[in-house]
Amino acid sequence: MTVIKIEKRKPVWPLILGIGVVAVLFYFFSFNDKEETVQEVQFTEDLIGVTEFNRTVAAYVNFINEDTLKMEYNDSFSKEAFLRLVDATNAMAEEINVDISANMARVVKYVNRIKADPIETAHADDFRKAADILTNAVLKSMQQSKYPDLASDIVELDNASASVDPKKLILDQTYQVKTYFREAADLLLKMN
Amino acid sequence: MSDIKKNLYYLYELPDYKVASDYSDVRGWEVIDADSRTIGVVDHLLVNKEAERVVYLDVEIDNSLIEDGHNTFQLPVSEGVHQFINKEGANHLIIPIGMANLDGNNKRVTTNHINSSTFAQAQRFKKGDIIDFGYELNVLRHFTGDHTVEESTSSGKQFYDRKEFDISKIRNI
Repeated sequence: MTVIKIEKRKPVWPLILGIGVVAVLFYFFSFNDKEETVQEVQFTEDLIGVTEFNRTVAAYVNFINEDTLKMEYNDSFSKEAFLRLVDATNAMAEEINVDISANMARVVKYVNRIKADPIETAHADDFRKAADILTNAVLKSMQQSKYPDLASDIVELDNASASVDPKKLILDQTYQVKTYFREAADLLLKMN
Repeated sequence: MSDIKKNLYYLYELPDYKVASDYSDVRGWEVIDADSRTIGVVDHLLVNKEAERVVYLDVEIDNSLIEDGHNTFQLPVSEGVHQFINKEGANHLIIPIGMANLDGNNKRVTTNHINSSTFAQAQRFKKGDIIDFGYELNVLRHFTGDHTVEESTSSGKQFYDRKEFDISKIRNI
């Protein structure tokens, strides 16, 4: 039997429409996936900050991040911040088994003097000394022992400390003081 | 070829149609005649839209066959009946589908009913020429040797119900 039948081609538009619908659905779900991914990342960060982070370190970082009075010097904030920074550094050193006790004792001595100084007349010399020791003797030793990749962060923290003029009143150096605390917070975050 | 048969189309003229699945698209297949000689290649398919099937194979024939046709015309009348005088460049002819067999394994078309001589003497046309019903009748009469096929049978689909267009309707051609 020699027969060659012909037939009408199936219309293409339902296929195109179907592909379009699939593309829209794919885009829609992809977009949602991205949102979910972002949420997951945020959740992960929160988890790191609250749960996996050393709680003392987290408390210091949160305390610094919650400071919204950027240009106004707050004496109680600065004193509280330094105390929390000392606690956080101790906690971090304990986590990584680095002995910083001797140098930290020197830091604490200056921090206690900061606490005792009346704000109106307090120069930044004690702050600067405490910051220099904490940076170059304590945190730097921790960095060199466990975090070789964070050398540049130590430099930045040292620069922040050096920007504090010990001869000037501390209440006139709000930006420099807060910059130091923020850099220290960043460093401790990375160490975790 | 002025009487245009509206029911006859090249398949490419019907973009909404294609060779049905489960059927062979024989375009490009060699055509072998009853003498086992390759006479050309299927170039196009001519379809009857109403019947939704191919009714002719449009074959581009070999030059050797054309030359044989010329030789035929040079023979004296006493040696045979001259058929059609083909124009220069006319190298296509049509074969009713029912007179062909499809060899899918070797991808070729064979015909047991038309020999080389008959092909050589058939009326041909140039590629792109419009095929009218008069030409269809001439070809059918020539291939079948039945000169009684009347134009009165030209009414649309009925014409293609002849055995030469659908071998399934007969046992032997």
